[in-house]
Amino acid sequence: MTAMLQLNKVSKTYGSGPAAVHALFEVDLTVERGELVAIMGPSGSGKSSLLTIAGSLEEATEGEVLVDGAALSTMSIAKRAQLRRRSIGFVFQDFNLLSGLTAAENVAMPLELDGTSSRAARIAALAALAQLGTEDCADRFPDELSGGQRQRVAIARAVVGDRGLLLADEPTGALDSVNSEGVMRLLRESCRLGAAGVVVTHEAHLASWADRVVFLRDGHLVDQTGDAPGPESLLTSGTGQPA
Amino acid sequence: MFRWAGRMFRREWRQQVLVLCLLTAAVAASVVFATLATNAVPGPTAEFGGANASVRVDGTDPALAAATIAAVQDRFNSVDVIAHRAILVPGTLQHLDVRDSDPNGTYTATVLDLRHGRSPQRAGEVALTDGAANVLDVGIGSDITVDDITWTVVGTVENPKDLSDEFALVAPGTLPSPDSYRLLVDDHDRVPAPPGGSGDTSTPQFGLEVMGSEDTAVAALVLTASTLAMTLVGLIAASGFAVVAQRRQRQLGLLSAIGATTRHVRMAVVSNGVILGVIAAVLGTAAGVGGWLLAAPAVEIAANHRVDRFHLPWVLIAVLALLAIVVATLAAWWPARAASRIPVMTALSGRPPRSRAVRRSLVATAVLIAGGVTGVALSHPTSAHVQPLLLVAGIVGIVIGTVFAAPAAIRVLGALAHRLPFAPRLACRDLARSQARSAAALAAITLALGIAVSVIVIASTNEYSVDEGNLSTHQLLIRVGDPHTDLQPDLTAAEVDQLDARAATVVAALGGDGSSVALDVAFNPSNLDPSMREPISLGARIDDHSIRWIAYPYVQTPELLALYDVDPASIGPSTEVLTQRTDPMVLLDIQKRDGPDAAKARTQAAALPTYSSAPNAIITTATMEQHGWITARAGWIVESPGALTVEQIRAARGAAAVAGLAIEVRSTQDGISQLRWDSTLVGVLLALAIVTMTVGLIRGESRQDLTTLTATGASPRTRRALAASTAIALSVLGILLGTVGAYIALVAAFHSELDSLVPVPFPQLLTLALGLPLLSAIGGWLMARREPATFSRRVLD
Repeated sequence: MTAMLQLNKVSKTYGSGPAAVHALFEVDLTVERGELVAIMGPSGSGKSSLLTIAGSLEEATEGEVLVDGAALSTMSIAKRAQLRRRSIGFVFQDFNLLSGLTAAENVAMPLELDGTSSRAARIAALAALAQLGTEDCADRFPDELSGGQRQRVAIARAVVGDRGLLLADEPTGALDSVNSEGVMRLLRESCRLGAAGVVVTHEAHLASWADRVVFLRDGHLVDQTGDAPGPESLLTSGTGQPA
Repeated sequence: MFRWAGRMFRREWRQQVLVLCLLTAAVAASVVFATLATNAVPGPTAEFGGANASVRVDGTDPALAAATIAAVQDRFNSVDVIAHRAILVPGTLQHLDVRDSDPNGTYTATVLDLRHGRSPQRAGEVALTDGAANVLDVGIGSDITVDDITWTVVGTVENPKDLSDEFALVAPGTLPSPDSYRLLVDDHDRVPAPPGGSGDTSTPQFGLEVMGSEDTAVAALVLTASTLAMTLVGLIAASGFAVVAQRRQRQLGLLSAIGATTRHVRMAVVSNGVILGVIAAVLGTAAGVGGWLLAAPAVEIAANHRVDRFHLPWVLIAVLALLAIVVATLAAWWPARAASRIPVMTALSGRPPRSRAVRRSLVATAVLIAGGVTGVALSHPTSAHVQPLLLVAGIVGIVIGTVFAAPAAIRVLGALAHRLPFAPRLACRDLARSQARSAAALAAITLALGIAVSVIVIASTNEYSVDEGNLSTHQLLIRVGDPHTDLQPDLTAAEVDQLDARAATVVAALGGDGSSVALDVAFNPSNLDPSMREPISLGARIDDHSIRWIAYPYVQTPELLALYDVDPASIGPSTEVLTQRTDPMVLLDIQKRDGPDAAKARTQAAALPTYSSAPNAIITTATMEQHGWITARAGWIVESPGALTVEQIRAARGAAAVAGLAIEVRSTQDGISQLRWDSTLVGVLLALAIVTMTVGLIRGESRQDLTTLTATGASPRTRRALAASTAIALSVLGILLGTVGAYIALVAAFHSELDSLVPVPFPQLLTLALGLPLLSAIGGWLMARREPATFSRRVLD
């Protein structure tokens, strides 16, 4: 079965000459469908670069990135945009909702951009919001929502349309602990339904929601865990049945 | 704080270069306006030269004229005498002023300039203005014979104070039989009167015409133009400074966090306004003065007089430059105040605070526009007694009122956006969200377009349309002569045939592609006294006591009816006049004119030409017979299959001169038409610059949104559509508000003659309405071509 995300010897260098910054150096990473991978590392270690390269927002200086088996390097700008509309969902730390659009319109945006009619996109958006328990916020603008609500809307936007790759850059950075746990639970749930997820986070207790944790330092992938039991394991018995 | 603002400006000047350019352009335009207004109005010096008073003397009684001139010369120390004689230009009905004036006179020297050749020095020599030379179709060295006098052209001259003053200058004292004299004097340079007066009652009396002052009108023009330009400057600057404050929000938040007071924060933004204002004032003044020096030759042609390009209103320019700084500073004040009130943490987050709706703007709009309309209406702008201050106050009221409507218009746009496709919906919502800035930009666009629309409409009130005017471009009217003096009702058939044969030579000069029909007018046979006779006229009844003269209707002939496809059988037995007019008309016989028995004429509608000199009214044969009126050959209408060329008109004029006839062709109004199109172009370009700046600033500010869009899969096409939609929305709203505002001001100004605002100049208004959004959309589309470059920066943070 094809991995949803595959990075082969990916390097990224910003600038040139003495001012060159090597953000990533020959990173290999594979994320399967249904898997949630957490990326940890100190500031400047290349976590966000990895995410933006995986999400086709930036191009790798060297190496190959495959999303659902398709190499990004061979795609045109329009094709990559189409990939982001149909297969990749982003969640940012600062929510990145368009303040000129209502919550439902923000969620419907990728579908509308992909040519779905406004009415059909709204129906799908309302369904995604309902799935995250925020359907009552549908017609409110972002500045009328709490931080937790905003991030739920952002996640709804990332998952709407059954997209296969979920990329989250510090999705809980602007939230309190209760909302942070809630967001991680939602991401975990999305992966359980078949999406591949990559979450950049600083916090170990949030990384523990992931199936696997990857450590980056100075652009190098220095370590990674095996399949972690996750906090939900505490709620199950040794046989795998709920306690 | 000022030093910090200065350093910030030095670091970030590229981000403000567009605002600076627009401010500089506005200051430059103000300087050019002021200089233009000062220099473009020739004032009464065109007639008075270096004098400040004049005396007009009738020349029909040479002895009395000589005595009057002598009396004037006795009363004033220095008198320049200009003798005039009007001569009929052969082949036309135009008169040319032959002038006897001393090129070196005390007062006349300033209104006479030799351009080429030499001045006439003896009898039989003449110098012509360019226009006179064109009319007479002669050049230096040519001979002209008019009224049995032959002159040799020795030079070309002009009145530098009035280039449209066309005349022929003869050597001093050589003009035979002048019609009139104009004596130029200095009212303050009188000969002291002898004690007790002269006591000579035989001295002819004369009236002194003292030169009036046009200063008030010029001041009003400058004040109005400067007010509008400065309002524009303020709006552009306010829009720009709002963005500057927004961009520096985090830095200003940091200042507050380390203890800066709201006054410090305010000062930082206001200082930026002062710096930008000073730079714009200096650059704008330099550009304005430079622009004036370059444009001066073109201004001479447009203003019809020579201008001294170094005659600049320096005091006014200094005031304008100072005003620019003050306006820029004031424009920075409001964004500064808003920036200083943002909570520190909100400022540090860099997120724009939620904008508040301007709720009182509609009330203020209504009050200001109502006051402005009243002010403009009461200032009598179309009369000679204009009240400048009231006019300026009224215009300012309407302008500010219209500008205040901008936030409401943007709110309405935002509210209606939910039905639009994605890109325009987001664009309209973004405009509504950033109301403070977008409203200022919209106001600037509105003002720019409002000025353009006003100029276009005012120009069109002075221009007739294709189906108006004296004749169409395809028509040529050959006239026998003046209807009062040259028409002869008692010609024999052979004499009429001779006239027709002479007219045929004129038609032949067109190259044989014109068909002509003879035109006769009607006379009352009981009134054929050459000094009194006048053709039967058609008038429009205004009220019970007054009738407005319309035309000399032509007499029905089979050829004339056939020319306009009128079936003779369709003419009713009681119809007196065929015409396309529908208002109450009367047929005027000179002996009954204005009398109560001038009964309403029985008219019948016919598809006749609407042109004033074409056969637009026909007296029926039955009416001629009923009154016993007789006919006189008055002319011939020539209908050409194509528009007459300059060469054809020149050939026809020459043939008419030889045949002793005169021709009339369509009067051109190229200048006014050009002005309308120029205004359209300037309005579009200015509005386009503001739209481009605003779209660039709004889209630049919403970089994060662009990142989100890109991450969500928005294609470059969507990003372009977003920028283009923003530009289109601003343009369309600007056109709507600008046009409505302009028409409000114009209706107030022309309230006593509203029909002069009709017809609406649709070609130019449509060009604005379609051209600006189209160009704006193209500009927005091109501006949004790049991918956002924020991803890599985020990584390096």
